[in-house]
Amino acid sequence: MLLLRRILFYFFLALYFTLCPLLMMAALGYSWGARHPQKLIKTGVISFSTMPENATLYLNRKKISQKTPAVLMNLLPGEYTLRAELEGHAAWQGRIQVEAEKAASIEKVVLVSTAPDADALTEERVKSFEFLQGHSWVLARLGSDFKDLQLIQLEKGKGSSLALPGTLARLRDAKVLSVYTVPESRFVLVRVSNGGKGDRLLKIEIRENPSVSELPVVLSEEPEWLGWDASQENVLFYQSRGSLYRIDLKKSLRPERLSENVRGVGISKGKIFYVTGTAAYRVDVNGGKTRALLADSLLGQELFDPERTYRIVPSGGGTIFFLNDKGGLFTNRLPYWITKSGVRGVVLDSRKAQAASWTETGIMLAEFASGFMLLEEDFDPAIRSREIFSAGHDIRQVYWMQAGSHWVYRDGDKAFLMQASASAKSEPQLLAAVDEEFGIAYDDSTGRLVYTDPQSGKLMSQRVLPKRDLLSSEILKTGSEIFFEKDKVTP
Amino acid sequence: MNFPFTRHHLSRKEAFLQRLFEILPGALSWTILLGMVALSALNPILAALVIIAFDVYWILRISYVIIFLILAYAWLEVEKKTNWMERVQGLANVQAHLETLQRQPSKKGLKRRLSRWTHQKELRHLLDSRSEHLSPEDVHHLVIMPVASEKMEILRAGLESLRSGDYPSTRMVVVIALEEWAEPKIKDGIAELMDLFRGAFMDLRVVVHPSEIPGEARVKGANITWAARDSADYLSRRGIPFDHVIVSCFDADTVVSASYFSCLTYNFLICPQRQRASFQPIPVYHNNIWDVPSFAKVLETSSSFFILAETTNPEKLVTFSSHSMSFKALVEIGYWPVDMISDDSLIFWKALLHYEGDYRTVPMYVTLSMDVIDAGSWWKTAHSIYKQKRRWAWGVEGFPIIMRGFLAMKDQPLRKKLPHIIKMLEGHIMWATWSFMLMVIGWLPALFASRVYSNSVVYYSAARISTIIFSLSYLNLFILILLGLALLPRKDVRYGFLKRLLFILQWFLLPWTNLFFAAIPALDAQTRLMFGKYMEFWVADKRRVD
Repeated sequence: MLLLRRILFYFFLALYFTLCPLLMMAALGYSWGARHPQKLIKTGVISFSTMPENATLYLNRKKISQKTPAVLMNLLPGEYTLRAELEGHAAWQGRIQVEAEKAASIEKVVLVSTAPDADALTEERVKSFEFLQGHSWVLARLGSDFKDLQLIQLEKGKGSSLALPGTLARLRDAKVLSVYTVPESRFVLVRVSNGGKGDRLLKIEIRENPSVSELPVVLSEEPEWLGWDASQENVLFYQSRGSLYRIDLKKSLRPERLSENVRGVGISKGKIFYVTGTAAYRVDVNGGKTRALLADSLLGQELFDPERTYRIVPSGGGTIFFLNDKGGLFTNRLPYWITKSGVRGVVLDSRKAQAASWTETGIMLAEFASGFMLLEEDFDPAIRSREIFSAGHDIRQVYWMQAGSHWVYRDGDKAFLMQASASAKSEPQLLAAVDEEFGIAYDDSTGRLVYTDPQSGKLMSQRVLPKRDLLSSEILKTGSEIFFEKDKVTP
Repeated sequence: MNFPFTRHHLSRKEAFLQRLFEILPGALSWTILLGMVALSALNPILAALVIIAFDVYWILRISYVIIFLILAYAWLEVEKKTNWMERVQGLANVQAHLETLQRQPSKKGLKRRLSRWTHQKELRHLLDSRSEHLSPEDVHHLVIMPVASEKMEILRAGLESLRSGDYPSTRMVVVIALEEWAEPKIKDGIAELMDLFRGAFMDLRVVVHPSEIPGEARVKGANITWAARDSADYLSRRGIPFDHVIVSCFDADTVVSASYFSCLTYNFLICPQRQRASFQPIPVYHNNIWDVPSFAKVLETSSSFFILAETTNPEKLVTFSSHSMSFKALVEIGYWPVDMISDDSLIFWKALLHYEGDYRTVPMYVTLSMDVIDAGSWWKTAHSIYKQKRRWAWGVEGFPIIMRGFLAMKDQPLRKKLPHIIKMLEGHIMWATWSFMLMVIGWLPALFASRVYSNSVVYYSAARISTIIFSLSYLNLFILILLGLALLPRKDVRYGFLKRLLFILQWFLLPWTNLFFAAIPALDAQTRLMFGKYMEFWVADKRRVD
């Protein structure tokens, strides 16, 4: 027995010291390629999944046995064409660059149904609509008065007019001047005309039976900007004649002026950011001390042009995007400037620490560091930006889809779906022809695209993602913190 | 070698070494665990490669152990029907017995032929060794059964098994080592047993261990040492030489198999250096196995497997739980440690150090059965089992003493000491880290997946390699289930099919069961030792449902 033990011990020892390096090398991507002149070669991986799953795969036109989701291993470095086909869906094809020791991850590619499931949300032609992000509701305007407003729940596809309580009933015919929304907020503000007696601000609570009340705030003229933080809904901010004001609805209705000559505002997670002069500032929504974000005046002069206005998009993780009206995009992280001009908007995906910015013809992906990624860098992690798509014509809107795997974007009068990945170059997939005037909205929690039908003018809702493929609302809550910038960039 | 086998009253240098080696196992286990957590966050690719290396090591080690587990189980089956008493009687005249065997026609069946072939080989070896001949009639047995709070019915079954075995109980002196602090009802129960078993043995004695003896801790070792010292006087008074006495120290719940003492006597007599050996049977936990939760069945079956596999490695076999040894050796080495908990394994190390490496454990392919912890409810049982496993893992308290002993044992070459040190240290560290590595740390690189890691080939290939390794481990698990089922007592029990099915299913939870009832208790014990928080003995809850 002892002899057997010794023999087996040395056998297992030898097996371990043979197997272990071999498996480690295999794990690192080394492979033995018989057809390749080198015997030991480094390979790469493609990880590919689709929604819906079970699509047939073709790699360089050759059908492979795996169906999606699939991990294709031992691939020699180079470019591969991958095609996914599923009955009842448009085929997806992309060119994927495989690098040695690296994995090209193309996850949750959405295969668009060839028979789109689209419903009309309104019976009549709409004048405009506001997507109430984070709630899967839409506020449609069928005419110019308050009575023409309809609050529509996307999943149910039905809308209802808004009932005004007793004393407010006479505002039914009041003209709607502006509608203000904030992502994730439970309410919408509507500024209506009061027949020459000053404007009034109505608050609509988003729920099954929406309630309307009046905010006791009098705005002497239309503000240049009005907003609030979704988690602090009792504090309103607005910008008028260049000054930024704060009103605490629970304490005093008297506006408190925060700053003059403000040329850009942004709110996120209990903090308001603004630009004045050649510097940016931050202050808590509830008040408190104002903190300058940039102490270096030379850098301030380099970044902030006193002639420009700004949109501020804070990520919540410390990275702040600044977009000026010339289309210049920069951040508070090295190398600061992403693009000097031409950017039309920027939209964030905080969960994956990435942002998409778009120009007239292209979409760019910017990755910024967060969490454990910081541990990998020896220097302060810089923003890494890459152009993913450049074949657009007139890109006006971009939405993140499925917590950062895709974009739904509008190019002129068409809505497209596009893979938000630097690993695969794929063609955009057409979703719908839309009315150019009103734009689109995409709701990630229901997987629906909202647009206006160019022929009938009705508000439409089209399912892009089947219900079973929707991510849980918890993931979306953290992943789709979108700051949407409409097509208002002045050249 | 005269070596102070204690952690008390040490010189400054010895005390320093003692603390150093007390800290070492816990520090290594924590370094491995926390180091892997940090590595998973800082360099997940390297962490994934280390995990692959560990997984390969784990599957190969398990496979290696399972091969010997199968062989040991096969040998247990081979010797199952052996008439040990007949063999013992044959040892009265070894030469004549061997010749008789050689003249007899070979027996039918592979098992019987294998058993007979081994027997003949052992007899020839005994004749060749020219060791001192000892007649079976000269052998006496001393059985010490410590009692603290064990109930009468538990002890009665053990005594009954001693009386009803094939070895004459009239050659046994049974000593009930009773703690002075035991409750009156326990003492009353003992008195009842004395009446019940009067005249069943050569003698049945009760030795009361006084409380609060200076230098002793409240541990089982102190109680049995007191009983053994008293028995030494008893045997001397009757003129029974110590080298003719085999002492067996059994937990109160131990029920020996019918042929235990004949097998023990045979192994003692054929062992050329019988005064330098312990005799280790296979402990099984069958007394109440059908009444306890499935996880407890699986855990205790695993413990039996551990010893079963270890029996194939007599060079490194260490005594465990109930076992037997030469009484002469016990007296010479100064009895069991009186201030430490793990007396069952420490007695082997004490003897090994005393005889400067000239001591070994002889495996015996015979079973003795004990109780599985049963505290009444699932939760209470789980809690008690946790405490029991922690007490077992507290065996790590012997490591610093053994290390000091090895350092003092300068005449022995390092190659003789090193395998023991490596086995002991590796055993304790693997005990505490193994399940964590498999069940928790293996996931961390993927959990901490940064962009660099998730874009690497390793992210995908490591998961695939681990899946293949885990799939292969199912083959091992399948073997364990089969052996586990084979080892279970063949007894008609209520809901037997359902209980067996649950037992099978429970094996699939073994990695988790091990995490909670092996790794965490072991880490707990090592951490306590590392910080000098010494444990004391605790009597496990055991009960039987009639």
